[in-house]
Amino acid sequence: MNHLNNQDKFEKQLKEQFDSFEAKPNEALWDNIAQNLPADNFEKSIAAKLDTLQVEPSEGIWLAIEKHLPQISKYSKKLVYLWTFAVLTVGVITGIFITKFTAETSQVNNLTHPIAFVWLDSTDTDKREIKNVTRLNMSIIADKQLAVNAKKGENIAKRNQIQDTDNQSVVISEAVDKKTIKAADNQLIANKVEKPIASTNTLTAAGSISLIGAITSDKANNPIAKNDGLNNNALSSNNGGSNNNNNTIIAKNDEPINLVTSEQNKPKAVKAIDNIEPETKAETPTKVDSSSNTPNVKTTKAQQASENDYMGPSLKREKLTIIAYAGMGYSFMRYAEGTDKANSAANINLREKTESTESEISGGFLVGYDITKRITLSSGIIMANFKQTMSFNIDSAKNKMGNYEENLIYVNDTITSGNNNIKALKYSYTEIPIYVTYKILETPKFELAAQTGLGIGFLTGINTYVIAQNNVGVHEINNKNDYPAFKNTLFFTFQPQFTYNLSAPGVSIGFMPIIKTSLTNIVSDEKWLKQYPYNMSFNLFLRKRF
Amino acid sequence: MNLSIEDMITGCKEGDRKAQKAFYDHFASKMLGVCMRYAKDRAEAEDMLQESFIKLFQSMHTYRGEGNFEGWVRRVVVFNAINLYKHRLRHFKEDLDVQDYDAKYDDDVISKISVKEILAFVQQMPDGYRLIFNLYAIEGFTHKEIGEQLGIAIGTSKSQYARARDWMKKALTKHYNILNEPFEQPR
Repeated sequence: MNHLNNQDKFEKQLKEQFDSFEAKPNEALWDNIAQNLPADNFEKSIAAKLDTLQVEPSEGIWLAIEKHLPQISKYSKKLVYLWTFAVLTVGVITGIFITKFTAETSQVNNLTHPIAFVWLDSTDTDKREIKNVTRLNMSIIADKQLAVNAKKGENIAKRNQIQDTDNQSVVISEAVDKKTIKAADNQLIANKVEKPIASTNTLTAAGSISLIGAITSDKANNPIAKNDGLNNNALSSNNGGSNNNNNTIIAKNDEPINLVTSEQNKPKAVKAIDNIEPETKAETPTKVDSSSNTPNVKTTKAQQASENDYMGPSLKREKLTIIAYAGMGYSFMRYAEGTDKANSAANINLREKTESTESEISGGFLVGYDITKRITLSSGIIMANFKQTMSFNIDSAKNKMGNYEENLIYVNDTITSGNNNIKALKYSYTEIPIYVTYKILETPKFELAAQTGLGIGFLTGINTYVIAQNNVGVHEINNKNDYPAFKNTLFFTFQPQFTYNLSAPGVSIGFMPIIKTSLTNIVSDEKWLKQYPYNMSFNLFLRKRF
Repeated sequence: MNLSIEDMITGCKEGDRKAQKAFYDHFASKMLGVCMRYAKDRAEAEDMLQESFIKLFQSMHTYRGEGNFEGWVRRVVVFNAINLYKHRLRHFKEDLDVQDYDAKYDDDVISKISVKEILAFVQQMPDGYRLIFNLYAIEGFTHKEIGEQLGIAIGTSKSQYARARDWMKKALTKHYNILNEPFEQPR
């Protein structure tokens, strides 16, 4: 029994010991218990209470917000100004081009072989005189007859230009004022005979009028035609032949040339009004070897000088060039990690998989200036568009919470590569470049040049989609300020030019492949993937030298 | 100017300044109330409000008319707050002082205290606790969602919320009891 009593005593003591034992639990233990307890009304009550909270904001808040709001109308105005400038520039350039081209073509047509301007000295017997050339009120009216009295021994022309590939024709130009053309005494060579010239044209030109006469090689006996050419400011008289226009009347052989005025047959002087240089004085005729049927041709200093200067319309090199080009190209996007490296590799991989190139038009205008024979500096305005297609699938609602950004679509959905959704991605830049062109090769017909340089690209339009960096959701971007926001950039361009010179003076066409790449990141948010668009395009261009 | 919500949305999408102002006038007070819960003071809340409205105007075109518009507006404001504070939260080590007060919490306490008094206690909490407390208790986020948004473990969200909740209950109870202690005449 004693033994049993002892055992009871031990258990009793042990029990007493444990009954009084306390151990302080870890503080987190209650937290773990508490968070698993069913919610009481605390959340409901406090949410209901705080939801009613409204606080009147300070007055300055709206003003501060307003400052940050985009000025939509202002932005549109910018674009309007930009495009108005571009259109006006194109218009002016086109106007200059057309005017110049037309004028030069006309000159070329008249001066078929402008190799040299010479004085033709006719024989004594072939001297002619313009007696009187009168124009009233800026017009030569058909019924007013101009007279030329041909007299022997008088063979003087005043700034007459004799032109003929076979030394057969004489070109005579005269300056006139609005009312009168007066032939200087003894200045125009005529044949023995007087030839009547009828003019049916009305000249409306003011300023100088040129008379172009022609003498064939068989002296004065050959037909001479007078033509009141109505070519802007020119009154011309051509040999009756292939170059006559509608105003040409061919005089008969051996008939006297007679420009009849109201004071018919009364010799009058033709006074030089302007444009008459001392060297072209009519008193210094050159000699013609009368023993030959071919007129003796000599050049005066003035003509020699002009001959040296004159390269012919198609050969003359001007320093100013204008190029208009257009073409089609393919765009690509290069990616690099932003400051936030999380998932960036996977994001780059996905974006490269989902994005593919797309064709897009390109074009621009460049104005160049030759600073040396081989080097040209150019600038202008260029349309730099980058277009791609994004094809992707949506792995629905894997992420219940999704991402947050205001312009996100498919917020909760993981994006994968696929073809269920197709979106067009477009970045439109207007570029102001500075290019240097180096002429590598030049022949009369062909040119090869390399053009390269930098340009500031102003982002003028954006309509794109960007997969979020964690590959959940897609950002729809219709405005450059939409998250993650896009910005202007700097372009580098390389474009070889293959040029073919047309027969029209200074006009060339060519082929120009262009490689253009962005040198700076176009994404504003530094955390995001960096984007560098680049493209390759093939362009045709029209070049005009001035 | 009395514009309907639809007119405001349309006008804001077109960049109409009058519609934008009407939209601001309509939602500013309510949204500043939201911002005040997330911010530690009024100045910070107003900065947050300003930023939120700029984002709202910039992203108005993405609202497709699905769901409650005010809910969408609030969502933008709340996520703006998340973006603002989650960076701070990652580096935030400040702990929440345990309230040394043992009185039992009563559900009636909240209804008997003004919303501004409750707000004052919310703003006293450190940034991280305040953010989690708002997201879970007021916005109704789950701990999983909070963890995903803030980039923290679910357990961290749970434990921080539990502390914030306990702290808040005690603070409100203490405040209420102090206000309602029977006035004792000095002897």
